[in-house]
Amino acid sequence: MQNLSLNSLVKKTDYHRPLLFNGVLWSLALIILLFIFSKGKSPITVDYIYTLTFLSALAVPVLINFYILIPRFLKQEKYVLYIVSFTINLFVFAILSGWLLQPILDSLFSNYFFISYLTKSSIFLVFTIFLMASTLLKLAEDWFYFNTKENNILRLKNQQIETQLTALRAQINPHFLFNSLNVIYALALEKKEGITTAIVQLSDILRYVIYDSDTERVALKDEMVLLKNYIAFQNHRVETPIATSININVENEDFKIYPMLLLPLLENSYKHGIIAGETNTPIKINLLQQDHKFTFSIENANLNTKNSLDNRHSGVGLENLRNNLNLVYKNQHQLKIEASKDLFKVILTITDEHY
Amino acid sequence: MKTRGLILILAILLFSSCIVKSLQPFYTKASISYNDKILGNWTDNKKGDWFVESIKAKFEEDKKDGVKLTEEDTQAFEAYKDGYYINYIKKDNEAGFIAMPFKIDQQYFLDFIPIEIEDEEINSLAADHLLKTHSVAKLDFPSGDAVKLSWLSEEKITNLLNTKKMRLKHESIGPEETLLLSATSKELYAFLKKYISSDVEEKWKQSDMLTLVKTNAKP
Repeated sequence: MQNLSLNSLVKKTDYHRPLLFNGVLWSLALIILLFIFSKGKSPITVDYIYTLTFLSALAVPVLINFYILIPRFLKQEKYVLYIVSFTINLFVFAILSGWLLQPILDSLFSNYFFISYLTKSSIFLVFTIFLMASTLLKLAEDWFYFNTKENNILRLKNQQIETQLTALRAQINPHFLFNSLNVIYALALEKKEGITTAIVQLSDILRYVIYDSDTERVALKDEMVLLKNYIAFQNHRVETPIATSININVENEDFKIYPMLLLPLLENSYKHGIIAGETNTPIKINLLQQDHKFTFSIENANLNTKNSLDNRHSGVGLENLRNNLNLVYKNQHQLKIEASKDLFKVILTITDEHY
Repeated sequence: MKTRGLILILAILLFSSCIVKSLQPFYTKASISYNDKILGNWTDNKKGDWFVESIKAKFEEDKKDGVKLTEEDTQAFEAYKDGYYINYIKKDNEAGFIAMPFKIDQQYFLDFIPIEIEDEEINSLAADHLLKTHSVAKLDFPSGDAVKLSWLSEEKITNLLNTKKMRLKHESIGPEETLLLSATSKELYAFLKKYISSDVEEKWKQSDMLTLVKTNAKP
């Protein structure tokens, strides 16, 4: 659907300039033929008349070739049909011109003597050369505009992706804020002591989310700090017998990833895998990075509290993540979700050779 | 054809007016049209004597006399068998021409090329610089005993070229910028065809005309 709409958008813009193309082509033809017909000397009146009449005769098969034969046969890959019709077109008009050009000139311009010009065989030769050369020029022109159109489609696609990403990111921020405010609200209700620290941590998280993550890529270490801040923030709310474990095995902390990829997964685990004071199964995080490969896995108890990724309300973060991955890491990622009776596990693997 | 050891020179020297000269003949092979009306002896209005014979007849005469034809002679025979050999004498100066008759529509023409002229009064070095060229004359038969030859005038052709109304291959030669047509025979024929049907005024100038009247004199 995306490509169709792009194509229809591009199709509406006509990149061909038939007037410009024909203007340049026939002007060049006029100059070259005038030079030939005047035998390299200064053109005289009779040369201009002959050249213009000859070009008029030549224009008919050339334009038939441009606007009927090429679009109907050559561009439709009907090559045999094209060659046959091209040959017929050439023969018919070259032979007709050989017969009729001189009598027409003599009757229209009876006081002019068109003598040392083309013989019938030369007319045929010039028609052949000109038709072939103009076909190549037309194909070159078509290729030029095809290339321009392709580039414009690519530009539009990029623009569309950028717009989509911006929209997705804009969606994440209020979503995250909404969840966080729920945490603060829960702390406030319970009048916990750490509420002020929690607000400072939330502030740090929000600063990162709003400002620092607004780039194409961030260092892995920054995302790790974000995760740790978030875990600390959540710990104000959630009192679990066993704390969230995070296992980090990173070869290069400066490995670049798209920002805010991991937070939705962590949010999801806290939201649906932990019930304060009740859950014995801790959240387990594994963070591995080696060479160009990065793997993030997160596991939590399956409490069946709207874990479905298709759920419109609870799955906004994960759905955004999925969209982001498809746009940013197309064919470079794997998002695996394993849901058993007791456990819910997500494994994200990214292979990015550019960062 | 008998060789008299004479030097070949330009036909223009025989005439006082300026006729158009061409490197190539004005006729095409298909347009050659033999007419025996001009055979015989003639006197022109400028006191020149013309002795016109059929080339074919001359060759046959030589054959009867036991003259063996060389390969060159055979080629010449094939090329000019439908033409005339003209012996032209004026003020005791003699010259030989080959004239080829051809027709455009219903009009007869004669293409002239000189082949023989007496060399006594011409410096040999100067003669080496001269070139045989063709000229063309319209051939009319005003009466049974008269023939009118109207040569194509250089003035008319130059006028057409200067007014930029004609593209015909040509050169201007020497300090006098003499017009020399360098077009092919096909082009020259096409030009004549167009010229006779054109609206050009006084196409055939009086000064380039000769009226020949039949005589019984022998050369």
